[in-house]
Amino acid sequence: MSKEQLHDLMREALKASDADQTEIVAMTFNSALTWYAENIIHQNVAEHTAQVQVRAVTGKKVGSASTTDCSPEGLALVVRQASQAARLMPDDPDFPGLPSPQPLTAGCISGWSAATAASQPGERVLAVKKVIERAEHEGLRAAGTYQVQNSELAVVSSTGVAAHHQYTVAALKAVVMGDDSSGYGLMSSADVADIDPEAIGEQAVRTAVETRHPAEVEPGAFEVVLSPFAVVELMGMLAYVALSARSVEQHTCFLEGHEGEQIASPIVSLYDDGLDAAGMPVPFDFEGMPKRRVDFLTQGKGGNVVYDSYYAAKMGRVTTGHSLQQPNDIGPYPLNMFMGAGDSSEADMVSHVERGIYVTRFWYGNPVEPRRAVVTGTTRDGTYLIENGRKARGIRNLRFTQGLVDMLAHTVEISRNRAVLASSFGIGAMVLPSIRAEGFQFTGVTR
Amino acid sequence: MDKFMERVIADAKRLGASYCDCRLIDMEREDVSVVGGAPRAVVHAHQRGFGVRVIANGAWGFSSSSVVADTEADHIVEEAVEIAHASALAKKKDVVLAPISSSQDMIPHQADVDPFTIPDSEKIGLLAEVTRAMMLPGVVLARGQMQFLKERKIFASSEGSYIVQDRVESGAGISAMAASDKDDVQVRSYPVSSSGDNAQSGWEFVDAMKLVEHAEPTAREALALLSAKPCPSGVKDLVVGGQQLALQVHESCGHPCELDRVMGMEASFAGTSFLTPDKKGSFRYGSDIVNLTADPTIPHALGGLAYDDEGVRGRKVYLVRSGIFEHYLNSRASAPIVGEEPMGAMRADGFARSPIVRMVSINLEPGDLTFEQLIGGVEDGLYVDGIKSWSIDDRRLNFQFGSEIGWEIRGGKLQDMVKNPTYTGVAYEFWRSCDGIGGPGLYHVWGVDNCGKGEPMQIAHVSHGTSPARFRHVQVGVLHE
Repeated sequence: MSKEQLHDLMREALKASDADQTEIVAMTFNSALTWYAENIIHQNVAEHTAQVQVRAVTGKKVGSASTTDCSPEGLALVVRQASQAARLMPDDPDFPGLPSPQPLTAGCISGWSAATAASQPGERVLAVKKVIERAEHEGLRAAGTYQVQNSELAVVSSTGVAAHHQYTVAALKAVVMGDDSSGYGLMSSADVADIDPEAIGEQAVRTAVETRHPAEVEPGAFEVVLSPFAVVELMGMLAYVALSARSVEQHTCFLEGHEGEQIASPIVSLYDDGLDAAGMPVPFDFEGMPKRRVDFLTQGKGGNVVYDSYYAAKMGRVTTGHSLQQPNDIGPYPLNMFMGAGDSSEADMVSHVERGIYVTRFWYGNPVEPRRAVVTGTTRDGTYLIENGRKARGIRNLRFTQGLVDMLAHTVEISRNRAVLASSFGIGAMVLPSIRAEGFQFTGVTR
Repeated sequence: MDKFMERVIADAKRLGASYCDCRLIDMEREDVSVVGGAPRAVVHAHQRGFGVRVIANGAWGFSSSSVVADTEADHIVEEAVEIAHASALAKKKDVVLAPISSSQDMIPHQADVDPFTIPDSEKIGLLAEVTRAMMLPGVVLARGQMQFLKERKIFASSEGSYIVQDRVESGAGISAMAASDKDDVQVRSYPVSSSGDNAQSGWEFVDAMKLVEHAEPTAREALALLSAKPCPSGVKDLVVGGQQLALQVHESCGHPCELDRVMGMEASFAGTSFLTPDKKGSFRYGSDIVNLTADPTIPHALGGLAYDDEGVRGRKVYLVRSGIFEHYLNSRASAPIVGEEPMGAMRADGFARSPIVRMVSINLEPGDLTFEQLIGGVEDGLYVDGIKSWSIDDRRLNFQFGSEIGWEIRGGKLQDMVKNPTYTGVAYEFWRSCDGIGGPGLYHVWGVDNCGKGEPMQIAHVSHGTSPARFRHVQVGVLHE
């Protein structure tokens, strides 16, 4: 279905509403995933689904309903259900009404690849086989996924909003395991042609081989070099607990009351930019509002948080175009986070460490004290002891318990190269470098 | 058999599949969220679709669609078979399923009062009253939520099974957040954090929670935590409340007993497991009094089921008996590899996902102690409860959990309240140190509706029966500065 046909279908469904305002958000997912482990493919799946979410507003009353039935009759029915739900709701005194349309730069944003949309299961299997064969050559076991996704997001409302974005995602991941070590590799892009299975396999295999026979290191404060795969786990937690208007409401935002103050290292800039083609751009949010760049930290100085129309009205701001699917209990969310590039390389960073730890990945992070963004988790898939400027050997995985603001304040080096890491939300991506930070707190060691 | 399902199975056979199953699911969901007396989100969702799983050329293929129509069925079956043939390009050996007897059955839901018959206004009104009651001076945020699900799932297989299962779930929870002018934020929840408690029941389950009665006490505990002392740090005896122990069971027993994970199938996402097959039947997982079961047959338990998504009848097994690791959560393909029979733990999140090994209701069997006896046996220790933070390594060994609230124990008595309590350890060392478990009067089955696993991510609804228990010599109060 073309963009015009989809919008026409949605506009026609709006006519079934007797509410003051109505909004329809349609999402289609055509995705496929090849899942492999122990050097075999153990699941290989495809999914063709659509979801339509409707908000209907009568006065200050908001009703919503969703369906997977995208026929004209199904859409009209869900619109009527939302309208009916609105009439039965109590007033929400904070609800500002549906947002009015704003100009979009959708035409300039490309996040769709014909090659990805047309990719076949056999192509995924052949790519996965390259990773498996590289692992088998070293006597190792490969596991991972190869996902391709072809999706649409469309928003139409009675206030005049009409937005449409089609995008693709391709992501190949490898965890390669030996008897006492493992390594990791990942690439994601809108274009399947950017995915290099040999490079991913090589990276994962090399790490697994280099970290064999890990030594045990006593936990404590260490200088660390964190790969982008490690940084993404930490920034994901920071986004969740601290970078949105909801985090201000919940008093877990470290930026609150510190705008313009030096909070982090002057080399750290952290921002969300849904229009930057270096990531996986999405020109508008789930209310059809244009994405605006939001600077959380600029050269270490405190900045702003992201808003949707609800929180913007409630807090006297304008929406920054960061609404998730409404209604929701998560609040606005940064789906396109970037950390500004530095002028170093990962090899340079390691060479600057006399004794420290290199972390390939973190795992199972969770906030311990959200107000100070203290989180815990463990390392995995390639943890090295750095001695005298080189990765000396693999070490057993460690548990960390670390304040993330404190880590950003003690960040002393950032890489030029940044990795594009597709979001687990299925839309957007983080673009993150490697970093070197001092005084990172490891609080336990695994068996 | 339903004509649509017949068509799917026949199509798959015609295209050369040696096995096929199809799940047709019609699901309604309602989520209600209220903040500070005002509705924040009320979502009515309806999903309908089907998923087709096949074995062709000895390998798996799966496809799914939200368009339930004959022509779409033809396309989806064709795609599933094509994917299976592609999978076979990298197979080492053929998939073999443990034999099961086919079933024709109809399973009713367990709700007394259909929660979808309760008007939204009543649900919102109750949560508005509760959240307003929690807004005491110093409370900055009071939240309440409810969630309800109604599902009909039809399973049919090429082996002749045809099973219709109806399911109704209800759940609710409230929380109060208090903040001080010293940058401190504390939260207390009732009956438990995240989405609260959940069960395969109707509105009567929410009604029995008596949310209004618990609103103010919950808020007062959040306020009291602001002035509580920090959690002490050291090696101490620890009494873990039932809510917190449900998390402990989930993370350190449920997940490591998943056989697909043990066999490496989850290695690229959630990791592997320390409970390798060589430990089965001999590994001392816990002390003699530790008995952990996987039991899908507990009435009303959120993790309960009559049949799993392979058509296997659910049955109770002991994962750990008298402290010894005994059994896995398994599937038809994995069970024979370790000499087990399928026990009904293959579950999928909706129609669009292929089933994987999941928890059902994983339970710590009750002991015989009263709460006073558990506390009375501690000279210098800590009592913690209320799930706040959780993290465990990729082999499910090293864990660190945080609770909403704690109390020091001295001389066998509860003493001062402490804030931000944490404890850490290694799964089997922790369970081996268990020397007291609360009796049946303290036992409750907690419903957890947010267990994530698999790629693409699947959310399972599981449950954990627990009563408080006592553990010796545990590292508490993890320092990080």
